[in-house]
Amino acid sequence: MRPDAPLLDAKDLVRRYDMRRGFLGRAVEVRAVDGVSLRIERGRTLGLVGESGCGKSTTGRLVLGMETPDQGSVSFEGQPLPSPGSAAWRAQRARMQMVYQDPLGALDRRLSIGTQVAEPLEIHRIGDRAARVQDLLRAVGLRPDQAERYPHELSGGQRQRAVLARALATEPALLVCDEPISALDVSIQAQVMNLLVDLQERFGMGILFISHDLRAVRQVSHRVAVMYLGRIVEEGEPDAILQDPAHPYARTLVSAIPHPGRRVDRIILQGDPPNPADRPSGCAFHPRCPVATALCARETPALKRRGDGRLVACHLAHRDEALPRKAA
Amino acid sequence: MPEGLVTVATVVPPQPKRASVPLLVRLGGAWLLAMLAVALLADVIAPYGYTALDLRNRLSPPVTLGGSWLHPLGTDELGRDVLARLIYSIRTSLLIAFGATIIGAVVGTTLGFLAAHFRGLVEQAVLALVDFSASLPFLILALAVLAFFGNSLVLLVCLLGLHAWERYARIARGLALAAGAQGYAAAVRGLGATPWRIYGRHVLPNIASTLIVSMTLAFPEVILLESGLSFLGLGVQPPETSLGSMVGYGREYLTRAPWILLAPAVTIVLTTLSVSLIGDWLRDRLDPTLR
Amino acid sequence: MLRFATARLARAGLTIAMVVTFAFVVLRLSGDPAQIIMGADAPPEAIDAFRTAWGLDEPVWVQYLSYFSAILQGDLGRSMRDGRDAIVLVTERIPATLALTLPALLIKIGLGIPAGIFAALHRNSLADRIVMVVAVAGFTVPSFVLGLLLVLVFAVQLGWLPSGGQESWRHAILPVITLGLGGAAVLARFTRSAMLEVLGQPYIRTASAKGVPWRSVVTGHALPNAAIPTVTIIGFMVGSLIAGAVVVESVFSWPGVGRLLVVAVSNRDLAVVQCILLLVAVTMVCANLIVDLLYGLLDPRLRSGTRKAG
Repeated sequence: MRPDAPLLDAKDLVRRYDMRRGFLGRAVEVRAVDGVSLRIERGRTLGLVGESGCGKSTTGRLVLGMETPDQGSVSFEGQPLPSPGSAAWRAQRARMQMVYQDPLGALDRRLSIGTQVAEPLEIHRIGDRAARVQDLLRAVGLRPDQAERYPHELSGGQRQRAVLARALATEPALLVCDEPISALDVSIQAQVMNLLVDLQERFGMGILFISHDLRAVRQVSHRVAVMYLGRIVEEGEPDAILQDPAHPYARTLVSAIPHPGRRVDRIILQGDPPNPADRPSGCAFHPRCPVATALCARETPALKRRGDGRLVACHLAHRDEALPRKAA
Repeated sequence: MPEGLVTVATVVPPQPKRASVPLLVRLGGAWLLAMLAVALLADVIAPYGYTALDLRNRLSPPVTLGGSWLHPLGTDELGRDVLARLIYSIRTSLLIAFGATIIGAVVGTTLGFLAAHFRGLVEQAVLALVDFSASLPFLILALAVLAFFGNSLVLLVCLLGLHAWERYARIARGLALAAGAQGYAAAVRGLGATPWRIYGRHVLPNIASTLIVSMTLAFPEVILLESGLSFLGLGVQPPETSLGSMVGYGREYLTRAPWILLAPAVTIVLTTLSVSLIGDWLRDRLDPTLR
Repeated sequence: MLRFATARLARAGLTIAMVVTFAFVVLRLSGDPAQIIMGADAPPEAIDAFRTAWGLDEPVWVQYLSYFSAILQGDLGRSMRDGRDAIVLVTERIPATLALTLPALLIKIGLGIPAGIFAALHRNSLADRIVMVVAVAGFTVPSFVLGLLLVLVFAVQLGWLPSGGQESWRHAILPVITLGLGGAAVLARFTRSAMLEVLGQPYIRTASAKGVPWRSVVTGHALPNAAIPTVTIIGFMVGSLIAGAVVVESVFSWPGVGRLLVVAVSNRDLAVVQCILLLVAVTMVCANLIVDLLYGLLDPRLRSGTRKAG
């Protein structure tokens, strides 16, 4: 472990799937993740935003080492990840953990919450389990007596707290949260996000926060990356992106955020939702982009640093940093 | 068989409420308990040894047909007591059926888990085997194996154990895949658990109710297969006796001494009926997705 | 549809290849195939000829290939009992078996399906209860018990029908009934549950809610959908036409393929056993293939070949 290395450094990740139509069908190659690089610092949160099917969950699994990328590399604390399923990989799970979208599915319905929170301690042979389980439950805002409960006896928010307690049991350095709040009631979402921020202060882990909700990401993240069809199209400070999104896709995402009492001009996306099996040429967003030019259909824009330090992958955003506000 | 039935996650939360058990199922349970008691206590309750001859009382009819209490269910043409033979036959048949059902469940579940865990070639191989055994009537396969390898009790139990293994394999694979895709199994794997822990501590207990229901449904089929093979003289070999071989043997005396055949035949029917009733009831109660 | 059909064909071929492989492996595991196939008291020169013919001195995989090609050429060995070709011995028994299994199949379909449909349409009525009781009994009473009971009643007690043999059509009545009743019970039970499942579907409720007469709902919507799972069972029954009467033929001393199989197994006449095994596998696989293709016609979702994985 090198102390100067970033907690997690992923370079040019590519993940392909073969999609087969029927038995003996022609295999179609789908690039779920197509050249994603990201970096997570200790104690900081990177938000990853995009619509469903854009590859953000796959990115999360690659970063955690649950899957091996077809190209590119992931290093954790300066070391490459061991291969999934190996003993070294299993031991490393104590250092990196995941929080799932559906807490009920992620919990074993036949075991009590206490048993399940204790399970990572058991797996990684960490002693003093009873006391630690009590501490963990308190840390996530559950009552210690709820250790006796079964998942179906808890509310959705409480279940997600239990999943968090289990994920934090071994005090991991990295936490990947894959849509952790989207299955929860709106009133509970804010509580869980606040809890996440509190827990980060206490445990100091780096977080990859995956969501389709740009506002949720802004609340918890120190940096935000916007993904479209397997690629990061924009990355920067959350507030900066929300106030002045540079990529046309990021702009549509921002404009989709409802502002009570204020009328905004929504950008309605044209065209079909993207199909990763049939990726458009050039910039993948060009068929739906209100400002696309002939160049966009021809050449894929690279993710480059702009003058203000933001990373953007758009021909126009680089050519003319003061893109007209409303071109459609 | 429709493949879809295994994709539904069938996790049954603990049910505190107690539905009333139908009368027929209770009767079936009582009969089955009686059979188990008979099997366990065979040495104690059997009035004679199952090979003991009583040459003075050959083909003696049962009490109900005017026979003596010496042989309540009558005797066969060697003067062997039908009741004693029935008791030992129950023991043999139940032993074989239990052994075979457990072997089938263990083999099938293990292969199903292997297929779900390794995917790829292992899975294809298991699925091809499933196709293979689903494509041949089991009786024919069993007869072929017996022809090639000759007969022994161990072989018979193992052979019958292969019956219905593909059902457990299908169920175990389907449910393990469902649990692994997004569910608790994937989560536990992410905690760093070994496959032993994932499958032994989490997946197996969660699918146990489904497997137990399948075992209850397969059990009478195994009894029927064993008795069929023994009836044909290809299953349990003399001097050992089973329900099926008693029927096969008694067939020779169908006209003169039908009781030799009727006692084991009724026992087979009542036992399979009891287990089927319990199995159907369990399925409807625990796991309606198994159809 | 074409791709669907070719995929099924490939699978059928694979299954038959697996049965042949199974026979080969079992044969090799059980000892010296030459001795076993030719019989222990075969003259040494015959065994040597067999070895050369089947290439038993070659490495295992060469043997496997020549075994395969021998079978493809219809060379299934000779019966050790009378030295005739196993395939001839088996095929001359087929008509006798079909004389039982075909009428029995008609009984199964003609009795089982209407009973199942009727029971489902009149759920929880007395008729439904009776059908279910008979169906469960049909499953739990083994065919040899049913057959012997019929013999006891109709041949021994009443003396109406012969108890065994194959002299006249009257000899076939009891075995056909034994086979037919058991299968009809299975089919009735299956049809009933398939029907009930379909009748509970939202599209049935929609159809009757929008005023389609109940009769048309049943014939137009329920029956075609319930037919899909039922066809599978019927396919299995068609597949076992050749060897589906092993036990019943033994009960009634009917000289069909099943009786031959039982005798061959007790005599360890392996060439005959192997021949029947392959014949059954081919019939079964063909029946399954036809069912699969029928499925494709009955169920438009399968036609495109995009079947939901596991």
